[in-house]
Amino acid sequence: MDDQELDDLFRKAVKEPDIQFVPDDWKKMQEKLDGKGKGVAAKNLSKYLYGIGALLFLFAVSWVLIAVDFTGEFKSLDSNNRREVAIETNDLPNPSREKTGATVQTSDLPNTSDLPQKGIETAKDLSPESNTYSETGSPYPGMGAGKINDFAAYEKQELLENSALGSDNFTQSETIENHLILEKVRKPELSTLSIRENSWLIDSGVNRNTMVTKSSIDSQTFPEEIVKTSGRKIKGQSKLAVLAVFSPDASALKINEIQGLGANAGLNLEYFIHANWSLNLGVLYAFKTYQSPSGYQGSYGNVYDLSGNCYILDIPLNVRYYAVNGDRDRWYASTGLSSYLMLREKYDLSYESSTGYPKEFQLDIKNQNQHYLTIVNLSVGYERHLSDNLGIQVEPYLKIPYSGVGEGDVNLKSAGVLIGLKYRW
Amino acid sequence: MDKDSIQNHLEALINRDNTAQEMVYKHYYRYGMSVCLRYTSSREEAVEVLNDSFLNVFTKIEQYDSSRDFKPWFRRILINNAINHAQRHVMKAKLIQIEDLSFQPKSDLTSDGDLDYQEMIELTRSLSPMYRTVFNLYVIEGFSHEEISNALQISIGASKSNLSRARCNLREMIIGKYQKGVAKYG
Repeated sequence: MDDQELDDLFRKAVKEPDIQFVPDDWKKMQEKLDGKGKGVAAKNLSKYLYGIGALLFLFAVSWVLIAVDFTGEFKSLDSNNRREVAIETNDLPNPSREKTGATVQTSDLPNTSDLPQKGIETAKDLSPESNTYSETGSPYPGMGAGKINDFAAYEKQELLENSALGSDNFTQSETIENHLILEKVRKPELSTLSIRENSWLIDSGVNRNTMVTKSSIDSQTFPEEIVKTSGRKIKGQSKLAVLAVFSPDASALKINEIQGLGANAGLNLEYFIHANWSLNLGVLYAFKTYQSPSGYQGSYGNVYDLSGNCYILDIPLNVRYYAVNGDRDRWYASTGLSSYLMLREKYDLSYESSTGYPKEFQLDIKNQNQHYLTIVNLSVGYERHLSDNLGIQVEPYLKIPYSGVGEGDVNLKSAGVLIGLKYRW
Repeated sequence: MDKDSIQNHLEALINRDNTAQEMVYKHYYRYGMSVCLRYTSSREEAVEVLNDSFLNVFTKIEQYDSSRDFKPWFRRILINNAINHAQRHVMKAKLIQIEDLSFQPKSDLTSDGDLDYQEMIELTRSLSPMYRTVFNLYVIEGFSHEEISNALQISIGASKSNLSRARCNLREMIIGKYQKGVAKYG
């Protein structure tokens, strides 16, 4: 039988269909019409809702954890310190009162020997006029106005540094709170006086008030040991960081079937919602290759061999917690969900036919399957600082789908080690 | 149902007239199923493809040019849905259902060696979805390999190869199972 005869045989058979109408089929059609794809839409909607729910859950968990973190830090503050800070907040500068030094507690004044050397040297450069003003207006016997002025500069520098502390012992909110107190002290004077007067006042009353605040904070709220153990200071860094990542990728349906390596490469954007917590959104181009020699179980029978190569756009959304903060490095744990956009899927399938001969076929599918937030990401990582802005990360990860991946709805698990170069502004 | 009557029902589809939908469905059911059965592995799948196609007809009837015959437009929809179905289900081992099951012919070939429709369906269902789809598109629908490669997003070479393998499998089955009936082709 040649090809033409075979084709003719089938063409002839097509012309004589013996098909009876089945009323149940029309009922199914009516259900479809009533829904007008409602079922499909509902299915998609449930997927979206599930994803949104998962996201909300992640946000809620991170938010609660952050709130607990803050509460803990507030509790760690001594109640006396908090009261003193509150008093200082209300104790806005009053030039007349300051000149008398009525509110100054000498015990709270900083030891001038602790002032930075630079400040002392600067004091020597002050003009005689300035010195005269300062000495006249200074409420502190033996302390030159220049020293006071430099102390203010020192204090400002300290505040700037403290405002960027990223440790458990010194939260940004506390820093901001203290900074605002000091700003409230300064601003009324600056807005009402000339520059020269302003300079004088800074040298005398205003700074004196500030010094009281500073001394209180330094001596009690931020004891020396806390500052020392606060970890690495992140000076002037923003909440955003970008990470270029690359990773080898091992994927398999079963853990003992890992054969061959794929790869991931892409970018990750990190947003710090807290010194120790961040949200991470990434875009990774992933190539995953896997085989299942033991047989992929199909709906109606066994496929005796499955080999898949998938090109995927992996969009992970993770929450990261920096658990250990060292001077030069940090350890973190991360979890979240990934979306897989299957760009291309190539499969080789072989199976045994009824004749006993192996049969093979290939599939090449493009942009047919998208899985939104259906892959669970788990990872731990180590970050090493290369400079103030640059760091390198090594992050072993595991990706586990909670619904099928790709055309075959396979349980494709992946593992690897993300290696990244991080830049934080 | 006469031609004018069905034409009226087709026009009434624009108004989402349920009676018109039922009439059109019943009228083109046999034709639609005859196409869908050839591309699918089971009757249930065929009905699924058929109803998807009718849904397209009912919801996109505005795209139909009433000055032309309805059948070619409907056929195109049927084939597109059948191709989509084949692509989506090809890996889910529907093919294994048939391939793994031993072929159980219900009857011999007709006395003159021809296939009836049911036998033809049973034979084509023995093929993998890709082979079956390529075979149907090429032999029954008259697609060229280039058109098949575009429709199925495979290479022209793969289309030719699939067709060749489909023919080989069909020939093997016909000769093996219907040795007597197809003796004249031997």
